[in-house]
Amino acid sequence: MNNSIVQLDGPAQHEAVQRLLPWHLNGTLGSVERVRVEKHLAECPLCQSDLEEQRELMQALDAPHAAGSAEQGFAGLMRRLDEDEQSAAGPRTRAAGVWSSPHFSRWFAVAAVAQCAAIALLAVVLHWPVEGDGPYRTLSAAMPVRTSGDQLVVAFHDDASLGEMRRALSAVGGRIVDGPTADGVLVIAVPPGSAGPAVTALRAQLAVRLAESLVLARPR
Amino acid sequence: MSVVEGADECSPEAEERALLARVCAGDRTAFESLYRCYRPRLLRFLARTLWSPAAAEEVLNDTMLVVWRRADTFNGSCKLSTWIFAIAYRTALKARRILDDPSDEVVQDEADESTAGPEGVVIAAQQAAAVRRMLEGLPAEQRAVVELTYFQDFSYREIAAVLCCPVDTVKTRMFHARRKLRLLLDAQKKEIA
Repeated sequence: MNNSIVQLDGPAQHEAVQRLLPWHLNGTLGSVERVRVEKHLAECPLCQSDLEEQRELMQALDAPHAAGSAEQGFAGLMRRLDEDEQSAAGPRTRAAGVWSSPHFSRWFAVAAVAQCAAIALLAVVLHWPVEGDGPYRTLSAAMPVRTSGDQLVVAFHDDASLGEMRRALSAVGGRIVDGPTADGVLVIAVPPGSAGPAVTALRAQLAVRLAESLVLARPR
Repeated sequence: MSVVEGADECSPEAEERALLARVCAGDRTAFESLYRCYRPRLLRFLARTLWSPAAAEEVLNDTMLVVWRRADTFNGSCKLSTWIFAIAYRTALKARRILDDPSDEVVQDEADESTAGPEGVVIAAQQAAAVRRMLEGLPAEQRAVVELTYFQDFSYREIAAVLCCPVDTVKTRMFHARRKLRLLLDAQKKEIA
């Protein structure tokens, strides 16, 4: 028996082998792990069927991918390389690469405009039923409290997507009741008594720049 | 330069390393060979990560520009493919932050009419759409693990190096991805039946 093979009991061995099956399938396991998997596979119908399912899955996922012309691709790359080397001789005002290509700049502009529009739409749609036809108010005006339940102030990073914001808010049962201010701060209503956990959960989100509770400690 | 598995003198790894050595010396012919060698694999990986063939092409070029500029920093502690895919993955992550959710009309370009007839284009587009529906149910990190395992033949250690995460995280991501894909595949079969 090979002493380097770690002997695990039944369920642990089964679980360990199941986690190795994808790499058994692509043939990249080391010899020790390969022996362990083959030995277990020989006597485990569940893992045998799992392996078959993975073959089926691989087949299902293997859609053809059109790669375009390598000649054109390389010619484009060489143009960028030449431009880059030429600009390296002079002062560099911005990083070269995908961000500086005309094509990507167009993408960036479209994405930026779309994101701004989506944020504005979200603010308007969620704001409408609460605000009604209320008086005109500047962005920096004081934020009135107008709902029951706990309230938080939340700000997202500039590059946060609408999807990330929606997921972050729905994870804490929050809805926008006011904002954004000129600094992009929103007032969020969450279910009563959940301000603390909601702040913790929001702060754990990468998209969130700021999360603070507006619930004041009650005087004894 | 340390020795890694698969780097003997006649292996593809050794050939690729020889190309990289010439790239270090500014040899554009060697760079083109390396580009042609990696282009199909990287494009596929990037298209799956970004869902946008146009952006994948741009990110591919950006990746290869880093390879050109930083060829001398490859220290041989991993396979050359691991090093290049790690650059591609990091570049794709940056691009994703800008692109976020690309629109469907961009992906429709994926079927290549020049190599398939109209019927082939339709079938390829349907297959691509079905795969896209399944894979887009996964977070990008899990998609990357699935792609690198099933279609790029990376070991879990190499994937950990590409994604810059622990080996156990790779195994866990794959485990969850498989479970979810299984459910999605079953649902798709029921839909067809």
